[in-house]
Amino acid sequence: MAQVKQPADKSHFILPDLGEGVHEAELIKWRVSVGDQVAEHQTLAEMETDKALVEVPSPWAGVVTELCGAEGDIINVGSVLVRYGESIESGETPTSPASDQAEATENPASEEREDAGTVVGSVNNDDDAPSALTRRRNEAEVASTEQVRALATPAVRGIAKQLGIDINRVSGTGRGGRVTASDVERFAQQGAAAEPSSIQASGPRVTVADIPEHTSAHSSLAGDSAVGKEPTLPPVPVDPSGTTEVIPFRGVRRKIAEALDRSVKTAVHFTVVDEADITDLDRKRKEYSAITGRKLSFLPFVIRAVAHGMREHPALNAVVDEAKSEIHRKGNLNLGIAVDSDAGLMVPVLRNAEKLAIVEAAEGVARLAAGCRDRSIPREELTGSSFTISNVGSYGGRFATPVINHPEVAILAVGRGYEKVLAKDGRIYAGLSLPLSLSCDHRVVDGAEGARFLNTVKRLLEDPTALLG
Amino acid sequence: MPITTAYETRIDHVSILDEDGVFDETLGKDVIAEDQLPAIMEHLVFCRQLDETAFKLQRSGRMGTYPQNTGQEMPSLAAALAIDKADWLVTCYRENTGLFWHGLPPECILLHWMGDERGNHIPAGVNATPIAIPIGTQMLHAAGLAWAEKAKKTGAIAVTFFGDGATSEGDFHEAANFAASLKLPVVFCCQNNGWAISVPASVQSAGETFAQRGISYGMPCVRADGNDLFAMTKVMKDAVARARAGDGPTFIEAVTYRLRDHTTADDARRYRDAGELETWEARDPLPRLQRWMEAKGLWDKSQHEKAMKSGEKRVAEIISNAEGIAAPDRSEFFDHMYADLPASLKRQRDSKRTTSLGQFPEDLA
Amino acid sequence: MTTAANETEMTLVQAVTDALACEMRLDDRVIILGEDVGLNGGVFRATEGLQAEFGADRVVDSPLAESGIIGSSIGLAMNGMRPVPELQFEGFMGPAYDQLCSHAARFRTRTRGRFAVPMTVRVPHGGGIHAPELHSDAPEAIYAHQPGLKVVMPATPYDAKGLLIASIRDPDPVIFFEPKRIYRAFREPVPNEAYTLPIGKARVVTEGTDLTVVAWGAMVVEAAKAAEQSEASVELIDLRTISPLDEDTILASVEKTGRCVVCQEAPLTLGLASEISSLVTERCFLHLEAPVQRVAGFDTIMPYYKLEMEYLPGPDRVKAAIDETLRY
Repeated sequence: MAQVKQPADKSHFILPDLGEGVHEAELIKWRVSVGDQVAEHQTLAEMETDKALVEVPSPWAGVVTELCGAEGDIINVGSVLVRYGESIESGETPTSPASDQAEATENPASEEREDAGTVVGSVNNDDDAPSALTRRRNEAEVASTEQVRALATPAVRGIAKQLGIDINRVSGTGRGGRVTASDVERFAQQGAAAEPSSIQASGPRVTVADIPEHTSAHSSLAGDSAVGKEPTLPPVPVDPSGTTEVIPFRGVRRKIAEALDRSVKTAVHFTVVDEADITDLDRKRKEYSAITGRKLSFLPFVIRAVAHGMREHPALNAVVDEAKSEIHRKGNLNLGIAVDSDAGLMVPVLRNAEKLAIVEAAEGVARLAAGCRDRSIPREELTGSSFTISNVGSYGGRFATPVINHPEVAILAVGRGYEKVLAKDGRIYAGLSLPLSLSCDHRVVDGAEGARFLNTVKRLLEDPTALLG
Repeated sequence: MPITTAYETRIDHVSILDEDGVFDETLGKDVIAEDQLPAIMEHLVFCRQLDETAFKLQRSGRMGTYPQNTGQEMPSLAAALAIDKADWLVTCYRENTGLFWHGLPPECILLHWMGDERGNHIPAGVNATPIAIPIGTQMLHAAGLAWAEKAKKTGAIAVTFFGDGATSEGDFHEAANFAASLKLPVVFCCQNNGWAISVPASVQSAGETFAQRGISYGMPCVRADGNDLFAMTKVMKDAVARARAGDGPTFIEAVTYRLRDHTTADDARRYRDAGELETWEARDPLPRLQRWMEAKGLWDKSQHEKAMKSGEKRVAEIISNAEGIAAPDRSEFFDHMYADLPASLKRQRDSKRTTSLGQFPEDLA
Repeated sequence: MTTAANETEMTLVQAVTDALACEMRLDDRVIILGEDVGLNGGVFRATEGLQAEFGADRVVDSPLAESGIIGSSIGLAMNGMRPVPELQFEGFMGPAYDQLCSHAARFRTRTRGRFAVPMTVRVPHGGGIHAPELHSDAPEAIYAHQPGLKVVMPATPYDAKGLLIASIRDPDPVIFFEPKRIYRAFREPVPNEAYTLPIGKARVVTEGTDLTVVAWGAMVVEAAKAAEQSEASVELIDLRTISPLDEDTILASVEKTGRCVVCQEAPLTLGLASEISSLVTERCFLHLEAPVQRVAGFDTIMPYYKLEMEYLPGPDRVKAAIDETLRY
């Protein structure tokens, strides 16, 4: 049995190691009460270790003044179990001697003057200093304790606290045996499955965002989200079998992910879809291409249609200021154009799109796209849009459920124009149909409004004269 | 009631061999044994050479700041002549002649100004204190040293030196007061060389003399020509005898002049009159003694040349010894902080750092 | 506690007198000097009866000059004596600062060991006695910051005698601060013969497991009172020596408890508590469960005695710090 040093003045009993490296025990039952006179060897309590139920005897006789724990508590080895009242050999606060007076008398003429023992003020004799101060024969050294305490930096201790974990239960894999943040995190994950008899007082309040290894997460969800910090679940362990490549989830990819995450968590998405008969527009497009000597896609025409549409439906040309809970409608149309790059999705901004002619729009888009692909595009050109167009058709998609480019309130995904059998005024023909998918933030744009906008866009795309007039 | 005289005194000025070479035979009788004079002259020649060479060492970058002693050779030498081996010399920094005569190896002085504390390791058996940098603080130490001799009943005494500027410092006053009040066997010698760096002595005191500083403490005071070895030795011998007899301290003002700059870092031409310097050059103590000794047949030109040659050789040797000293161990400045270095200081010395002495320092390798 | 036959119950100031008497009997190199120390026995009676026993040559009433007292003591010490000068109050150490820090602290290293200054400067320390200004200050950090000096401050009679004798026997200059507020606060049995206690070694006053409280001088009493009032298991350490600091005892304790409160009378900023806080943070970083707290005087001049108890940290402020540290 390892040694726990009991205090020489027998004022309290420290729970010793109850057997072969036990660090703690559960207090099952008190066998004494406060005020009891206990004899040496008398059982104080029944305690349960992970090995056995033991009776803990009093090491000396005395009067119990305090029971340091309640039945059911886990008591650590090295902490005080019971306090005792004044034992036989207690030190006494000394009484002041009669000879040295505290106060100097004011009478210089008197024969008999008590020696004040000071030339200024008064040095008192009756200060009751605690008896603990008076010398004990043996110079007390710092007593060791059996209690195991984890080594950890304050930062890691903070994490453990937030996760509601007793850091002393975490085994450390860091330098010198210290507990690291990953150790805590790992313990937290395992802790969800095992450790049923966790007795920690605070309930788990787990926030993945707070784990410092994923520092980029700090900047995403926290801060400017109007929705408060919701408790999120710990990550689900991933089955490593079958994995052929591990790609670090960080950098731009991570930033994009965060942005999308934020968008989905703030805006209430709904999507309306439609198709526009662009058979006529296609002819127009080819004409323009021939005239300008430039191969035009449908995108500049869609841009034009959207710009028109915004005039009639200004509610969709807006951004939401979550912090202030305000919707800011915009006068001009700064269009985000979704571009696919090696690093993933980028959304450069075509400014004042409502003022642009078809060719200007086409050139603008081409320039932005090139800037994205070779990563030369400056930061200013990647921000400030109030509506986004995503040309999913260029990859071959048809309909989509696009995710709004936060903090905008709507986004239009344009699919690939495809040959389709269409009908008009009873006449059937083979025409070109352009799929359109519009997602809106239902907090700001209601269903009807969204549908109406989409309809306007569709109408314009189906009527080139009105579009280009 | 008529006004009576509560107290009056007078300050004597002692001169024996004046700047014109006139020697007072009565006063000067037996002050210095004639057969000791050639050795004294040789010593003075060597000291002057060392002083001038030291200046050159500084100018050539081989030594740090150095305060030249030139012109002030006599007062401290007089003390060294007047005292015994067991007596103490407690000086500031213009007392090389006296210190060397008393047994201090000249290398020590050079090492001090070369930035090496080993120069302050006064050899055992030489009762002298190291160069005192804070002005006016060493006289209290002299009082204490003398006090210890008195307590031990050895009969040994202390002679302490300081400048006119130092007499403005509070510690001078406290030392003089302690010494006089407690009747300590210490001799106070003020080298009034006219200047405290650029401040003339008239700013340090409004009094007629510096000797009268001692009056208020109730100690005998005397003024002497500081460039006259005989006058200085006489007043020193008297003061030393008085101290040894248990009669307490004496205050001596040695009137002299700082013939060079305050230190090698100073330029006295900024504040001193060229005419004044010329006047005092004519009172240079070494030529004065040399001329008198030559006139008396106690010295001649060939002896002087010989002294110059041997002096030069000795100076070169001393410089070589000082410069040749092994470089100090890199953590030597820890060694003498305490008799026993505390653990925390040992740690600093061994690790040569004050950081990362914390947990797991070995991990930082 | 019963007093053995070879012990006497005494107060701290009586233990000082006893230490001086014991050592002066054993070592005739010991000489006491200072203002009013001889005939008057010292303004706190710390040197009571000593001039009668040892004579006016060994217990000397000096002129009123602090620098003079210390400077001449330096000379005495350099030349084989063991002077024990007294500076009457810590507030008057100023004039002696130069001699202490420019010379006493330096002679050994300056002369590479040729000269040493085995001098013990006794100075009453701290507030709480209703005195006029400059009689209640706590400047220990200034001298602890001066390499070459040692600084000692007992808090009990037993420690005072053992540490004073040790200081007198120490080959280096020691500033021996005597907390005047507790000069007579309590008595305890003190051995009659001369004994020493190690300089540089703290004492664990009470053992505990919840947090470590470090204190020195009169604050040890205040801290002990606070510890009594607290329900926590407090390990109270009395430093006893300010410089050199007993790092090992402090660190072993904080490694055990994980929490630390340091108590001083001196103003907060740049006091010894700051040094201990730094030390603990560096060396117990991985054990700390709470930041180290410093209970201290305010960064003001010590007020005149009407408000002195507002200034001085008492058990309340210590207990508050203990509670905050435990709740962290």
